[in-house]
Amino acid sequence: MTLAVAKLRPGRLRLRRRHPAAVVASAGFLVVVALAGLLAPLLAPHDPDTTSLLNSLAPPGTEGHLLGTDSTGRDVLSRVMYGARLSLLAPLGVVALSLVLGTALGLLAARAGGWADAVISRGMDVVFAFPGLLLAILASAVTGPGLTAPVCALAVAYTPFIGRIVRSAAVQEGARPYLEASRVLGYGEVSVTLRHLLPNILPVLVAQSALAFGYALVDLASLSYLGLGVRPPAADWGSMISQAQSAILQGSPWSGLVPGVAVLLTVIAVNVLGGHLGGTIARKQDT
Amino acid sequence: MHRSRLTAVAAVLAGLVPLAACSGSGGGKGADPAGTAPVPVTTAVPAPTSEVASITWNIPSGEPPVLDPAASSIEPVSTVVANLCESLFTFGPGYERLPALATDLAHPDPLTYVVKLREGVRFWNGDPVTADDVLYSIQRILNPALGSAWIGWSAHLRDVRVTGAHEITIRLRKADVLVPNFLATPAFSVVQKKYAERAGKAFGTAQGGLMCTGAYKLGTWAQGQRITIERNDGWWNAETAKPKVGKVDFTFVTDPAAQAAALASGDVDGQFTAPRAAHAQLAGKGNLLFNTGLGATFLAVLKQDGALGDPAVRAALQKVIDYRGILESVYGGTAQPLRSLVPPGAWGYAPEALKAGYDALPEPAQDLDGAKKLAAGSAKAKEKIVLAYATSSEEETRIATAIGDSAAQAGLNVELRPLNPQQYGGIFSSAEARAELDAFIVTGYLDFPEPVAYYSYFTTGNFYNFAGYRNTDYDKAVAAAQGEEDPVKRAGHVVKAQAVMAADLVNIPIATQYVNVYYGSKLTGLAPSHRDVYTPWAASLGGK
Repeated sequence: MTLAVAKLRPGRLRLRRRHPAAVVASAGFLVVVALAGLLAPLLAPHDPDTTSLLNSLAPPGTEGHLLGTDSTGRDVLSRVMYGARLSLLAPLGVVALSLVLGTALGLLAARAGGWADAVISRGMDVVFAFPGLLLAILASAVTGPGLTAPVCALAVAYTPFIGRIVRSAAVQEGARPYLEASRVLGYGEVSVTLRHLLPNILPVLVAQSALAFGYALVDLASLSYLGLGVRPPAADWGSMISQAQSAILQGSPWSGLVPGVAVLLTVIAVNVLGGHLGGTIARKQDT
Repeated sequence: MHRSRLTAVAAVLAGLVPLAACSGSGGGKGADPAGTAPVPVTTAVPAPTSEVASITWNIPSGEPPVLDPAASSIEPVSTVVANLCESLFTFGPGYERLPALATDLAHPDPLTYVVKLREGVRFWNGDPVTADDVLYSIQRILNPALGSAWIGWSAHLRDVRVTGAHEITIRLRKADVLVPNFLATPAFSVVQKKYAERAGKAFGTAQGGLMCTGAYKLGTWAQGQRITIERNDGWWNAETAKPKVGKVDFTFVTDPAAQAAALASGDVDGQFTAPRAAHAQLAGKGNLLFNTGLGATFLAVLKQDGALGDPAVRAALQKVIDYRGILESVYGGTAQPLRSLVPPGAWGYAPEALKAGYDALPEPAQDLDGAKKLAAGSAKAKEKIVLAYATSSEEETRIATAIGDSAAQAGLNVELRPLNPQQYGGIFSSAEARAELDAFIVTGYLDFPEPVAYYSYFTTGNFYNFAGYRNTDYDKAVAAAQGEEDPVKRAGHVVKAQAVMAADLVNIPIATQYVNVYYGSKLTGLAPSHRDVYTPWAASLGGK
């Protein structure tokens, strides 16, 4: 029996190695996308807003336009690169805001308990029941096109997503002896929570943040697709897909496909990373 | 969170490829659906020879809010109402005034029009049309409480009276050559007094219904779904022009991709203004016909106290427009260049004189260097110019995007302001909606080929003169034209007003688009024309 188990182990190890390959590929892709956005002014072959109506809907491979041009003759590659900035930064803003709010509320609910826990938890239930995208559309309708209001609205909508997980993890951690030991040593409740409890639930937060990033990216791309996101002529992937609708009817899908694939791959990549982190944490907790 | 969203994104993206494969042929510049050469125009088509029980017709701008002819100044209303209600006169193929509910128009002096009404005409319910019904219909439009845009015809009206059993007389305070043209528009549509008074505010709605005399009568109106009109076998003109289509079901598909799919599959038999991106696809399926029209797409100045208050900035803005790119790429050969606000298609008289005046205007061409010089010399060039456009128009979105980019290259500070249909509509009705805007891209059309009709909108104090344009020479020329019955002399005044406006650049003409209509290959009889908005176009259609 011992020998049989020993023989199985290398197989399990090989299985574990496959996950890092997907994770590494995802991380690599995200790094490339982030660098493309960051270094767009240096790397993009054209100004993303320069139009050339007489050169509209040029197919990929056209001289000077590797990925073709859109319906106003703008270079698709350059717009995808510049579009990566807003397409990545805005969801990052959503995640950062919801992370701060959700963590604060989750920890408060878990540590305070009683009526405070009940009020915060029910409040988060109410917000959780309200579709985030609808909230963002309402915010845009009030303030007009632009990303600030949708980012804030989505951050509010995503707060319960983070907050409930933080509360749950904090309640679990709260029962562990090391927190009681900290108290016995004379640390205050705030200090115990921030210096000892929070670091222990940080991996959960990182995993959930990665997942939230993917959802926020899709939501914000949807808003831009509806014309409620960035103000023209600024590029982001959602608005690029929206502007390519008529081109698709004309048999020129690339100006929509390229940003569409960028959204798809980015979301897959962040989800692979998020899933991997979640799995790793779960295994650690099991052991 | 909802994991299904990711699946949805993947599904949408996966759907793009086959959708593209099912759409137009190839891509790129060379695959422009209409090509870059002007498309041929169609002014006449073979008459129908067989009856068709029913057709389905789509209204691309959506469901009409009401079917009252008083509201028939917007396309969704007029597309339906044109077949239901009749005016005293109608427009022939060349916009000649033809008898309809009236048989004759006498003009004994410059201030009087005597209209002889047709005898024996009956409403759909069988009641005879009386002079009182006609008078009521005219006065109803003139009631400001009704809010009809057609009230504008009465600027110089003294009174309208019944002067015989089948006669009404219109008297003016001041000669106005526009009035006889309005007799063939919904300004003079006849509705039944008894029915309209009983219906009150519900007249023309799905609940209140309608009572007119036209070639078709209102059948059912399932709000949000469809409107059905049925052939009126009691139509006064049925013996000579009996409609060959028995029933028309109107649908309200507004999404261009859905329109293209419905038209190409035959679920919908036809529509006016077929989606431009689907022209290549539809041309191979049925009749996609184009004709010159009375429309103009132009950049209208809304505010003169901002950057556009400086004529040099307006001139610079005119020079940044890529006219060739717009005609060839945006409109794909379905538009013509435009030098003045009124297109050549609207020269309804004295064409030589009007052409000479038009040709004397500078030919529009992009001149970025010239624009840069003008911008460099203007202190106001750095001020923000907010340029609004309707996002519902793919063409105007592309034009605005190109203008924004070219303006930036020339040193102008243009901020694009995309507006949804409701916001865009607000420009025409609300000073508050216009407050933040400096200019907007607008496509308008004349109701009849009379240039004075359009130029009068920009005289001092006119409701539509949003920019507050004021030029005494312009006002005098338009007033003189409006009171001048001699066509050649009137054309002279028009040319003068046109030259003043062109120099002042309060409106910057961009292009005049063709009108188009699409219908299935088994149908015939309808040539596209702007008159279709006010004439019973469905009565022209039928089977081959």
